Amino acid sequence: MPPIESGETPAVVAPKKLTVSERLKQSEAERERLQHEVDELSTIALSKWLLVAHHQTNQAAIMQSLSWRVTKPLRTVRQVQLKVSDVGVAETARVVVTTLQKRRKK
Amino acid sequence: MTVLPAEELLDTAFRRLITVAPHLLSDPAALPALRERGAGALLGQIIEDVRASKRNDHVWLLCVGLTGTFPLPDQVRSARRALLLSTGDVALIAFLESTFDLAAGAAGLAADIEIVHRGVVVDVDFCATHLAHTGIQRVVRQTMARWNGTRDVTLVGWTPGGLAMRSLTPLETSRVTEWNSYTEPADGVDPDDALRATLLVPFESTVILPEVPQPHLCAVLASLAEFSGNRVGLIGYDAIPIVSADTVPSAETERFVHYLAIIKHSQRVAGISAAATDDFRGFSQALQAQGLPVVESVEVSLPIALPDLVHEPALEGVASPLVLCVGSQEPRKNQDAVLFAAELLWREGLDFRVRFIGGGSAWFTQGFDRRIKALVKKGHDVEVWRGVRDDALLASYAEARFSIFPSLHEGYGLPVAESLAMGVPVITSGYGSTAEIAVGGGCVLVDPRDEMTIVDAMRSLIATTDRIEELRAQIATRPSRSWDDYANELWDDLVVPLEGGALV
Repeated sequence: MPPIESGETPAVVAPKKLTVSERLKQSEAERERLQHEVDELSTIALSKWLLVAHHQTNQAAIMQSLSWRVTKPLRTVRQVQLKVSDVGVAETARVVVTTLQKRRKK
Repeated sequence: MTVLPAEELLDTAFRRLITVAPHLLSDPAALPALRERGAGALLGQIIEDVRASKRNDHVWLLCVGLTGTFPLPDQVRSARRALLLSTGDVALIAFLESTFDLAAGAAGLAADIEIVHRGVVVDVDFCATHLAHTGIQRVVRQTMARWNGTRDVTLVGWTPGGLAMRSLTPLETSRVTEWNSYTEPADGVDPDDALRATLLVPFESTVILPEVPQPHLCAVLASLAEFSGNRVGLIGYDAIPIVSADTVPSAETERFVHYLAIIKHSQRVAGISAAATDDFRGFSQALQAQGLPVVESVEVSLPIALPDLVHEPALEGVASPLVLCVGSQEPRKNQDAVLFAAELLWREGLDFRVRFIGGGSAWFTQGFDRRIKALVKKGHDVEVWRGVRDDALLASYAEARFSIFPSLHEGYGLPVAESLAMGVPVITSGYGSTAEIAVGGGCVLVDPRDEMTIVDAMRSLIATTDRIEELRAQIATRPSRSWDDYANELWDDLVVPLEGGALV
């Protein structure tokens, strides 16, 4: 590193001093940016809320439909099939018996 | 059910919020700027202003605007509490949380709304969507045929499942206002699509309930009466399901109890007779124990008048006198006593026919029809007509020697009034509203619980013509009171006193 010669000072750029009006303008711009962000987040929250509520409405309607209730045994059979392929017949049988016993107690 | 994209749901909700905003923002002039900032910003500002106002009607309207669904009483309370407990920063989230069940419990999110501000909204859902045409429906259709077009009213029905009020389709409007002249589409052809109708939201308006609402609408209407700030007025027909609960199915009583929850928070009831008005006045007085304001009860008696005729009834030349018994068939109307009296008189050798006109629930009509069949088998001339239009009804009145209506308990007794309007003498019960009608003459009063008084009255009118002529002369001198008179008085005594701003 070359020695600093005496009398020489490093070059420092002094920040430009903002006037009050400029600072106010800057703050206002920042406030607007943040406000815009808050508005967008509020809209996103509302949109998600609407979507979830809408899906829940549809789900409830599906589950009350005749076709959903009529096909319930098919879905039960499919669940048992999947369980058998996953854990075997013996374990599936045990789970089924336990589930049925719990249901009967209820 | 249709799955809608998020953008469409948001756009529709935004439109609903823009619709309610002028009524909820403390500074409605700020709406254009808020619209520019989007749905979230608009909702946030509305919530802030509603929270500051603490007004129940604003909470109610905000619930409707956000969800497209009329809230139940507990849902309004819950939303209000959530708003008042939350701090400004999280009020929006708290409100969304508190109204989630309301939004998810119905299909209103896909609907647009229209506000009826400071108007008169009349709920005619049952008449618009059903073809039944007994007592209450006759009153509603006669009255609405006169109000519609001459008064500034908005007739409304309800969306399926009772999520919100909606506009009527042209066919539904015809069912309410043009009963005797419109044409019902052929079976299986129904141009109505209630789901596509615009949701109508009364605000700072007068809501008139001329029907007894269906059970699934009672809670949401009670909420409207309690929280929405709209002034609610009703036609009070009777309190039979409570005070004569022994004569009606228990489901009717349960329904009526929920109906009373609407009346409890309403402002005015127009009773159809002095007897009916007294019943509702008594209920109103009982509310004082709950610290609730008095529900004003006024009497606007039904007319002694005929339904509007399209064709003049044609008289058939039949020698045997006809005894006509009009009214829905149920134990309270006492048709079995009429059958008993008729059978006794047939055994005495009197020659006459009996015709029953009116519908009824299967739990009663099955047994009643068996009894009719048994009498027909014995060779007696007795018949039951159901689902007939007014021209057939009036033709029967024109044919009848007299009519009989020995009901055990009535709110009014429309068949008595219609019979008198046709100049046909009536045998009816000697107390309550039917006795009120009889004051003007033309009636023979009996004790409906004493079947022998019915037998004696029928015998006297079948056997000789003198008494019939005397009664007809009395009818001719009765003061007239038409459906026009009733419709005008109902407007003046029920609607006019309710107009004039919100209840907060």
